[in-house]
Amino acid sequence: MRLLELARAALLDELLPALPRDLSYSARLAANAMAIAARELETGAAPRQAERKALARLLGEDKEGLPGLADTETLDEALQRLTWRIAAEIRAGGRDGDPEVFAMLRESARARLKIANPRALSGSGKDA
Amino acid sequence: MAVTITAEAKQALEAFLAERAGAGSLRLTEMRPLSGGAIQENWLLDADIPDGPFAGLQELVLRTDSPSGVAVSLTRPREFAVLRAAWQAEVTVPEPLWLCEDESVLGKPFYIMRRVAGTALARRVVKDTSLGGNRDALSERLGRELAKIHTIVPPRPDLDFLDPPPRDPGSESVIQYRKHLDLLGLARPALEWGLRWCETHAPQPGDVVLTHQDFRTGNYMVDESGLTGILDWEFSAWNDPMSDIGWFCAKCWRFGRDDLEAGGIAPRAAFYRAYEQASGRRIDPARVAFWEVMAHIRWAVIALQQGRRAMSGSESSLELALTGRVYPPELERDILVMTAPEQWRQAPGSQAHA
Repeated sequence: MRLLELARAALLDELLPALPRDLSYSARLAANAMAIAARELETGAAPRQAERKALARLLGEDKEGLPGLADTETLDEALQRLTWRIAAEIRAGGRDGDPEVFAMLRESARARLKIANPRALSGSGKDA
Repeated sequence: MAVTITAEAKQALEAFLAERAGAGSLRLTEMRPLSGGAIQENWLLDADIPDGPFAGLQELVLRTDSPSGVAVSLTRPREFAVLRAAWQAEVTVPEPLWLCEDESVLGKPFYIMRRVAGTALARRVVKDTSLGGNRDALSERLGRELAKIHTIVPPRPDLDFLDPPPRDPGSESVIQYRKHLDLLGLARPALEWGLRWCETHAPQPGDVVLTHQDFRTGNYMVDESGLTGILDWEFSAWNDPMSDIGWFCAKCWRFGRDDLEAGGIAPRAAFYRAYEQASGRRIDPARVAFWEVMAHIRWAVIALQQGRRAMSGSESSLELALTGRVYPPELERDILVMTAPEQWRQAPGSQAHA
């Protein structure tokens, strides 16, 4: 993470000013990609764990043992499987206007926004 | 993106242009790629024409496919036909001049249009209020232009390559975007939530007209005097005219001016009024609200498709990869705001319309 931050600083502070104008856009894109990767590393697994728990509860998989985590599943596999399940239920019309599902979706979008585009969190859509 | 052109290609292009311009010869004094357009490649051309009906210095633009074409967009020959239909309907567009389907000239089809002055850069258009005349004038003008586009109605033999007019545009869009998600193989519950809301709140079928499908700030040119041209017709399709209104006003196309709901340049009222007066069609806010949710879903799906193309290694483009990563969460957040539980009707799937 520290390496990424240093690389990003070098790119923005040292390389960018020396680049011709038509390459500065690419440099800024690269800097943004590094910032996303750094935030992703910093955030770690906590939001995904929370999302898995929320999904498991919504889908009735939190009855025993580890919520929503079968023995052979990694966190990402469990998250993937539960996400598919809720997506299918929403599409089939089984969750129309469900406030609990809505709250989970809102939190999930917020968590991903925090990594991918935190500036959008402070914008006018902050209620979401 | 290929930004060079060989001497032979330039010669072949000059010969093609001379022939179409009815000139004995023709010299390209300037030829360089224009920025913008992740999907198409645009070239600025200055042609010195000694004789014939186009004699003089002609300022032109050449438009062709870039390597990263989107499957759903129209081919250049089809886009040319749509542009010609718009020109004939007196929409403010760059005048379409010549189409070249002969791939021996540039290796791919292209067409030539007249160059129009000004800028299309969305952030500049939104920030610099001297562009486009004044803001009221610009938003009214855009309303009238959109009404003109919507005078083009099926059936049109010259546009027979377009998908047939949908019988139920709202519901068919839901099916279409679910299919796109399935093809991507992605589980996106927030998009599913938005699509299900659209499915249960789809407007009754009404008029179907030629819609631009990318009518937004960033896709029209303006200078100090006003609007100079509506660009980027590659997504045109028969659809509910309100789909263009919803796209234009959608929050995702306001470029930092969320308070100016008509494309980040004006309040809705002036734009709506001009459209209603020119088209004689009433704008139903509930119908527009539906198409605004659909606009966010559509843009999210396009962004995910672009991200997929970059990540799957078929194309190495940091810009596309970032598009697929940065935009969808924000779009999903905005979809959820518009489709919060209190926005669902009591009886989902009922045919009651607000």
